[in-house]
Amino acid sequence: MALTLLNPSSVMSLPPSPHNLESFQDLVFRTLKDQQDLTAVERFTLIHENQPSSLSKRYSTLLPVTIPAKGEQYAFEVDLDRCSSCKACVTACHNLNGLTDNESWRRVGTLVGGSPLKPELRTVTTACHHCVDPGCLNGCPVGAYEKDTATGIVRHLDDQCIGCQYCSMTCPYDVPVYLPSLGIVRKCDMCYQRITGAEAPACVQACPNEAIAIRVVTKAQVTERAAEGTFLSDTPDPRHTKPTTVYKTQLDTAGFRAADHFKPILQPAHWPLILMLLLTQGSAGLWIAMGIVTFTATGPTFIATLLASLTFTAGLMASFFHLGRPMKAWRFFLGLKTSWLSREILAFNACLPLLMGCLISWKFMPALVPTLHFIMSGTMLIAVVCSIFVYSATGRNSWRFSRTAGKFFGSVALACLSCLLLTGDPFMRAVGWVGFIVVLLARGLQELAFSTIDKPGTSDEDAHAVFSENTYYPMLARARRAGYLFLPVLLIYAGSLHKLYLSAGLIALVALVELTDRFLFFRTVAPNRMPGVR
Amino acid sequence: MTKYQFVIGDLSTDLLQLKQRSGPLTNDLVLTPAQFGLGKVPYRIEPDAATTSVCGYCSTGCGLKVHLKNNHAINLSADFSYPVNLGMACPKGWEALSPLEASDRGTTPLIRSASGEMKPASWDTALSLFCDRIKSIQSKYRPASAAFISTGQMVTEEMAFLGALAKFGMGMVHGDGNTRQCMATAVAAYKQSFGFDAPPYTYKDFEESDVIFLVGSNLCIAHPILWQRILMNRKKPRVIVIDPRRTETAMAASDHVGLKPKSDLTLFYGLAHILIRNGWIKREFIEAHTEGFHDFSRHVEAFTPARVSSETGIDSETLLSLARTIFKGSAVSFWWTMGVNQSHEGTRTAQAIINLALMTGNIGRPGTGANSITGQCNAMGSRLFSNTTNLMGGHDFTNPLHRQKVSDALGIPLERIPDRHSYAYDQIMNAIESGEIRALWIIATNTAHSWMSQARTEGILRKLEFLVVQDMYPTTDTARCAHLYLPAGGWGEKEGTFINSERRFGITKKVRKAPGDALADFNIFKLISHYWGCGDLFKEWDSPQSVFNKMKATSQGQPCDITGIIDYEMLDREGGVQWPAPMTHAVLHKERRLFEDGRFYHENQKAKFIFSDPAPIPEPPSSAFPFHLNTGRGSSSQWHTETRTGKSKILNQLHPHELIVEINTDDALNLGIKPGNKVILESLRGSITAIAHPTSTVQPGSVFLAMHSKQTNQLTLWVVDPHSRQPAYKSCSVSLRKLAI
Repeated sequence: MALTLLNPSSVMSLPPSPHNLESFQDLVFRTLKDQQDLTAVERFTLIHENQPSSLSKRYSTLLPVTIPAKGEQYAFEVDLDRCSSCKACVTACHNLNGLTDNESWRRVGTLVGGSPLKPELRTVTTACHHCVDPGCLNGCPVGAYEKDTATGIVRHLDDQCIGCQYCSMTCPYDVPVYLPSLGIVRKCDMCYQRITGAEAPACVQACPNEAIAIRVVTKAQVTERAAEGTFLSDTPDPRHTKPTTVYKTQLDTAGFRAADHFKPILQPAHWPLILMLLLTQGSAGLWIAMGIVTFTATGPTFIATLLASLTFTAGLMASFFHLGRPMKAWRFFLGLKTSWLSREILAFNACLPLLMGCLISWKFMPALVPTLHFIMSGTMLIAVVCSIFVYSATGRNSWRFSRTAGKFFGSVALACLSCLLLTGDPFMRAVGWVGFIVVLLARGLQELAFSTIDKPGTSDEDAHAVFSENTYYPMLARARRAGYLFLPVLLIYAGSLHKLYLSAGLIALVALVELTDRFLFFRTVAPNRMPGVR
Repeated sequence: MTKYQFVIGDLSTDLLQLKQRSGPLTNDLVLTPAQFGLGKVPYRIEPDAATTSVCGYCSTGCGLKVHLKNNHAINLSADFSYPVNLGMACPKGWEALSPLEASDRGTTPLIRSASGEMKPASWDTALSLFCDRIKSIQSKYRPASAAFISTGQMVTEEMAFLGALAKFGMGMVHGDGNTRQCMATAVAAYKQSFGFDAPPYTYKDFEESDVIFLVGSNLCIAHPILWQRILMNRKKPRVIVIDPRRTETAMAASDHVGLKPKSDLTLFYGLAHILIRNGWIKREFIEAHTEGFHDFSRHVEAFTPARVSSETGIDSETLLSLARTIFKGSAVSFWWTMGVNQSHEGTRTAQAIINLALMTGNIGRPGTGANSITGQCNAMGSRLFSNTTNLMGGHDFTNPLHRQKVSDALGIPLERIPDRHSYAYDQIMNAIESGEIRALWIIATNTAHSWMSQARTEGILRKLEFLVVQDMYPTTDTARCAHLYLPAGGWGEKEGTFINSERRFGITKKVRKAPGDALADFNIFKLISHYWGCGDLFKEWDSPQSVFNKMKATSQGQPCDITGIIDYEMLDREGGVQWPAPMTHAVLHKERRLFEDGRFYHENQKAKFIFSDPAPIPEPPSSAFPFHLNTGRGSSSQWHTETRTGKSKILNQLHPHELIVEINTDDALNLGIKPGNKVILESLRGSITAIAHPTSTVQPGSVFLAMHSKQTNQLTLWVVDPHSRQPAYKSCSVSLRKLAI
């Protein structure tokens, strides 16, 4: 901007001001002081202390007349045709529950459809669906969720939560939200404290159009509806958790799509988890390699055992950084019945004493070492299987078992084979070389097949993941593919040169490719969720 | 609590129990039954008192209940006792406190240094500079070479003070409000048709109509609480939305009339034609209370259903059925918003709507009226008391009797009152371009985003020798251009009145301290009056309440007479008071409409039929720019240029973050544009990129952009309605193509 001279002294041609400076500064001072005074409000009649909430009359029809009987529970009922898209429910939830920053337990999204001549749109307000078979509750390793027996409300015990965020993955509707400032997730409790005192939940109170109500539903009904697949268009399969919310509309919304259906939405990278997975799987590979080497003339060394132990321990330590409240994680066994995360933690914990045993045996009972190596390899494999289930159990399509297993076992195999190809035994080295190259190529082909999305049968979620990769990380996605498919060629060449440092360098490159792959695995997965704003 | 304690502090109690049902995190969400009719509130922020305050965003004028602790606002909810919103609020209202806490609030005046940076300064330095620079420019050129642009977002008392200070005290002649961008058309239409700028309705009319026409009004998104009032109508009214877009409101209505863009005037003349031809009009009312009907009926003879049908794209059966609906309806109300106002022929379109109401006797009765729904919270305050277009109190600068009356009422010497009209906003901009105006003082508006044809607007702002911007934030697009920035207090940091769409004076209160050295606009004006040397002229203008009394004095005998409003406490107690409220009124009912006696404000007490031939679209689509661009509100969580709503983290989650262009599905298909593709939009004035959202809610050949992005006005055309001088944001032509990656 072209600026003119702004020095006040440049306008001295003006007649001098008729005021004296001192009184002016006093005036400014007084005005500033007056601005900070808040007593003016006292002049007005403050609202009478015991004024009853006349809103209660207004929302009385939006609450059930009876409390749930056995086999029944409370549920949200949303009249999509009454919703005018004002979104007051979101802000009211935030204000009346005293939530932080941008936290609200209600969210809104849009469904679009209809015919070209009569396009339609419905705003979908969504909170926790207080499912009959809650994904969050089943996934929680420490039992921080409870389904209230009287009301059916799925409640989160905030002080029990360890901040592992696994519930936000196992909930098909993306309901629990992690709050880094608190180190825990929080979610809608249907305003439990209000509803049990005959007051309407914040969102129900605040809807100008009376579009949100609380109703009593029978769990059998909900299960039946879920089995029929009745819930809401372009939302996750209700059979998974049996959500109780009822969305009412006169429209046939069968073909409706979320307005953000095509929008790639990135997920948290979860670096501690990436490191944990890679390190524990790498370690598993090393233990297995040591088991195999037992049959060769040289056998495993103490250094190798130590290395495998350290890798594993580093992986476990990394996982601690993932937790918001790690000191509470000792309760992990509370979720063993339903949670794969509980089981993963158990398997990893079982490895710890074995690992210590191995290291001690080297000193005192070397004869035990091979046996312990075998047991350790087996336990590690079980842990890796648990890791796979942790992700496949979320129901996120691109984390399905086959794909996740390919990745995780691929890492185990690559670590194991790279270990073999560095051994002194020529046969093992040969096995290592061939295996390493074969596994790399196989992984490359798996990723290539995944990213070819115009093949028949590609799910929307896969397409979403690939679209995200190509949109946000095109270089990384290309580098990964190139790594899996072209590194084998380099490896063959390097192998022919018999240079150890070259092989070690290439193995390090493969580790980088694996790191990239796991980063994309977390970052670009299509979450299961409700329709969002476009 | 430190992070360390937070993580391990409760470990010892932890170990004793498998399930930890209590603790600091659980306590964080404990609710407690509050008093003040609030139901349960978070224990952490339990109020020790509560008060009410009218919301400072839109003209609906909702009552908010402010939760106080030591007189300081700690939370808020909607006020159920307020007659406007009955306990409800839209998300902007719920989040009204958040923008006050933004980290980029202005806390001290800023002066642009020779090197171009903004440097903090004291109020004393800033205001000395303010006065010296403006005085020097006025003495170098002429007094009128300094002008101001005001707002619809301040309290009425501040508008009145600003207008009086600038014109009576500082010798400015030209000043206008950003209300020019939202309401001027309705004002011009009402003035010519009724004899005064007088929206005749009360919100209760929404509940009492059996037929409701919404013209160019996306009520669900722009005025959600008024949509609530329609849903409260127990007569199950037929709601007819007239809009080229199939908006949220159109979908929620009983009928949607998706006419061709800018064919609304023709449509209304066509409906008048059918009503007259079939004798579906109220002869007695027309004869007793209106004039000009004969000429009007001759005028609409040419608007045959066949012609209207071809020009609007609405088939003649629908036209007939619409006319019949008006005829059969026992209480028909017509409501319009920006789709009408922001048009190159908006005034005539609004008057065509007024004509329909007049000829069918749908005025002055419950559930009727030709009703303009305003934009900003205090658009009407600006119209009646800001001393811009009108001399304070709804008077005329050119009328010597009016000047004398205002001079007497305010104790301002007669010679200080300008005897000519102010330039309108666009004329002020033109005058800056031509060098006639050299200094501009912008208060609480964001010209560098909201005005038309941004490339030209930017050039105009750059031409200024001295630009002062007074705003809550030094970070607005306009404040970034300023030579001097004055930090202003916002809603909640000051006291005063707003006048909402239904003519209701409501009170807003000071419940927060302004940050740093920021001052309420009122206080800034008070200081300036002293620094300028005209403090004596305004020595009685020492508080908002005293200025309110001045306003009352100027309103006496006017249609907007408010002499019957005793004081702020009365406004607070009564849940606001609608004008007219003259002292002579014994009882002031909560909901009142105008013209129940059929007497209008023209001298002969008759309403006028005003009309003219539809004018061609200023910039029709061409082969180079084949698409018709329409602009408007994007979502209920966004306000105008988002200087305030953009500060709320919670509101920011409720709308898309990229600029979305809505394009018809078929057009997208033809251009090879898929959902989510980046596209380039171009007009003669600029070029922008946006994300494509193919939808059949927009017609083939049309595109729609929300106004909340600064980019949108890069494209819009500089054209105004000739009668109201309101910008025509809703129509220009653009080209569109996929961005090659």
